[in-house]
Amino acid sequence: MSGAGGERPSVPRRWYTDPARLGLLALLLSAALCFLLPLYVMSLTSFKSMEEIRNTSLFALPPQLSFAAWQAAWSSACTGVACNGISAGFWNSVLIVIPSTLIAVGLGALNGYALAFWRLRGAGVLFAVLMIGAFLPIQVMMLPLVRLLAPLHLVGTLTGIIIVHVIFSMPVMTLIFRNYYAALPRELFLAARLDGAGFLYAFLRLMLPMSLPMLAVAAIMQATGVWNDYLLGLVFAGREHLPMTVQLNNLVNTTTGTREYNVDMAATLLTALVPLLIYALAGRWFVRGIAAGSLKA
Amino acid sequence: MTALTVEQLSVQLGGRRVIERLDLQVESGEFLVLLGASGCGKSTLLHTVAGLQAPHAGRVLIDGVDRTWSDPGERNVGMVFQSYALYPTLSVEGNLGFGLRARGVARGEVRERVRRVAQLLQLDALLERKPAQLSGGQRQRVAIGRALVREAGLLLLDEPLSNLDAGLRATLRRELKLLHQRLGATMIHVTHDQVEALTLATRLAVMQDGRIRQLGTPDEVYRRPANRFVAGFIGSPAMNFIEGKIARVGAALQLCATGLRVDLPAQLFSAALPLDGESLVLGLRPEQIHLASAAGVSSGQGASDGRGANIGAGRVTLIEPLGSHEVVWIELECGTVAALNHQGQRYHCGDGVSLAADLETVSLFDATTGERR
Amino acid sequence: MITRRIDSGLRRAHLALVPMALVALVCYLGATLWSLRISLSSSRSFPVSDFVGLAQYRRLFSNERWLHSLGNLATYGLLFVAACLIIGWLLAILIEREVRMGGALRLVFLYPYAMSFIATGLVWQWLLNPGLGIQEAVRRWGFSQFRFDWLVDQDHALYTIVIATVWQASGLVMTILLAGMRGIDADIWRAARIDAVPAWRLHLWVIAPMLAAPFATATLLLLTGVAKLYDAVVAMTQGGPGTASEVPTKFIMDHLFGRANIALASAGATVLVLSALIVMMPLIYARARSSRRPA
Repeated sequence: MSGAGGERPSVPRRWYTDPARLGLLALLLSAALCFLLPLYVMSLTSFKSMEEIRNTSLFALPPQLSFAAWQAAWSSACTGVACNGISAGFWNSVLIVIPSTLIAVGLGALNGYALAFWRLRGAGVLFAVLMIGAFLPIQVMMLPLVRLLAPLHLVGTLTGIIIVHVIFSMPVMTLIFRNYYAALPRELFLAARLDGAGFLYAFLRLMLPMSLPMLAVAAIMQATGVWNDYLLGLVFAGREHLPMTVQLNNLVNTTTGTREYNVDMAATLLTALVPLLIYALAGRWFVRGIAAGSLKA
Repeated sequence: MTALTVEQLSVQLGGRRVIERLDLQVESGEFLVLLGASGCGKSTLLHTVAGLQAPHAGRVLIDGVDRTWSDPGERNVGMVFQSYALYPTLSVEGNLGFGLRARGVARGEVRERVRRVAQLLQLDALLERKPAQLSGGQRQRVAIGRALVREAGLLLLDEPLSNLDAGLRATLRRELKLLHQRLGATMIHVTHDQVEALTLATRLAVMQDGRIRQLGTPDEVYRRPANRFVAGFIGSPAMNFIEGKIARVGAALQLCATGLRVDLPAQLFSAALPLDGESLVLGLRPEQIHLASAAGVSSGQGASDGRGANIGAGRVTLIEPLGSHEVVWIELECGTVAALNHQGQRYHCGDGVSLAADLETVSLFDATTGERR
Repeated sequence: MITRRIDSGLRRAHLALVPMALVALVCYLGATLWSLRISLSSSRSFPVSDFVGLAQYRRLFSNERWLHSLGNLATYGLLFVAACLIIGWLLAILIEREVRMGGALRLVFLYPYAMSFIATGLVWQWLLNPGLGIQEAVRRWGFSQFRFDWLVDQDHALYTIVIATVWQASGLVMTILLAGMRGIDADIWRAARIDAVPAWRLHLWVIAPMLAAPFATATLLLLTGVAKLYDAVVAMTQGGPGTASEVPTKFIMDHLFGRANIALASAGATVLVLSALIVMMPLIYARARSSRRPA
């Protein structure tokens, strides 16, 4: 054995020469490409003219970028009876999402707070009912709900659809806030009570400010979920307030005559734009939302 | 045969130099302990030797082969983690054999090697159990067994006792020492607990800020600390430090501080004798100080019980009873010192006492560099 | 003074939970029971309060379309859950190993989950369009005999829905498993490196068993998606061609509104709910029990 050193010196392994690492990266990148493919194709198609669509390959770049399909999708495509584009649906969705997010998140926080800190008899059972209900297909509750809300003149109104969204999001919202508050030190709450804080005071002044990140996560989850909803909007929103997803389906799947695929894709992109934008800006909060929702304390 | 050589090792963590040009050699069969406070780089050093942390500069040679950039699996080392890191879903048998099976070793041989190690570590009755069903000591043995099954040349232990409560810690500490005596394996152990370090080590490295401040046997480190840091780190209660100036009268040396005058024998100094007027720090361990009641003793003469040379007088301010002895805190004019009293409840707060010390064994440190003189 | 405060606090707490109580008892429990009641009547377009026993259920199970939709759901459910779990798990393993670009790549795999089922269905309907989609594109590359017309093929239409929804949900499984992996003792990974255990082996024999809880959660969420499958079918195939991709929820919705036979629809809904509960109850129970046990 030679003095200090051995046969060959040790060299650091660089990522570009390590076969295992390169193989891993190649696998991941191909998978990423597969996942990105639909978005890529959707965007390409929306910028082509119908002529180009018929004559060029699905994956080919558009010879010239045309926004005509986007304009048509927004303002002149036919969604059922009216031909005013999908823009009406956009504003409807906005009007539905904002109030239902605010109310659902607020109620969820209040419920979670009450369940976590105040030992109430029967609350556990109610919560269990709520949680099991979350797993059930909506169809089983659809008709009863229509029958319940009809005499109140809430079916087909903006208020009605908002209420329905709040109802169906309550289990998840309550769950994530209950878990969140249960993980906070109980001593904080007890100290506040000893200091004389009442139910609402402790909530508004102490717990709510402490749960700002959770509020953000819940708001993102709720807003995305409501925006993406189709069925509830179809049944409860009424013709004047149809959300964008319903308008989209009408636009694409109920067209008579020739289908304009570029307009279809533009409309789909427009509909998916808001959640995708939220995701692009707040992707990490999305992940936190999933983690929070999948934990069951 | 040198089991491990570390040459001029520098390691950076997040832009910060955690280990700075460190050199270390560990011989085969040694039990080396890396001792230091958190952040001193001891765990980083261990992880770099294991291959879990890439160095910035320098070399790591294991059994004479340069392994600076080798994968952990190629280095033939074993590691015991603070949490033991046993695979929770595998039985003891599964845990011990996992590495071998991964390498494609024949099933018969795996069974044989696992059986042998299990016998050696007295785990044979537990082979079917899962880690959750084992006691702390049993888990430690399984963690060590994992390395022994692979016939690892070097065993690295990363604070394996730190998570345990005091009683269990002492028991497992002794088990570790017995194991080392039986196996003769080369072990490198990281800890912040000096009791662990002193009791387990054949050699001890005291680390601070990424450097080794002293490397030596526990005895050397305790009796002749190389610098003020090591002197203050080792020993409980800590060494007393008194700063003073040298008064040189011909060949005789005296350390003078307020109300204190200590004659220093020349043999204390390893290098050149200090000059007149130099500032030095005197280091006295509490057990080196002998107390006597002040009544009837005039300063400057030998203490009444005849032990050591008188160095001064003071007043008792605090007494900490520890059963077998007491720690007595005495306020002198130049500071507060601690002394040990093995003679029952002799002193009370407020008492005047005179102090004497065995001056052949005290330590002297440079006032500016802290190095031993 | 404190006692009065506590009392009023409790009262307010009870008050605050009234909406939740209403929703749970009226909307969930009550609605489900009401649906059950309707299924035992002969209601057509409007609820009728007679009692016909299990007649609607007998009619249901002699209805070709319903039986076909149940079979479709079972096939779909099996394929969907299996594919999502496997793909999600593989992605999680790959991402976990890739330290540098893992964060950015994770977002790529999860973005489909942010899209609505309608949008997902529509884009895949486009991709799988025989004349203008992938089949045509590959043919243009020179493979003139290439066939990928599952969308209009009776025997394969259901699989197109599997493809679209697996694309959407695999990222969710990956995210849940990655979160679970983060909770694993970091020293286990290091111990495996020191033992020279290859990553795939560690994942298969040690890590995956340790991820039993996240796997159960992911499966539960996936099964919920299976039971609720509706939007994607409407967007992609409308249940066709014929009844090749018919699903129970579509059957129920069609009979609730279009075909005006709410009793039959309610019977279908009840059957769907019961099946969902039977399949998911063991998982829900296991999760509830494991979360009560100390970690």
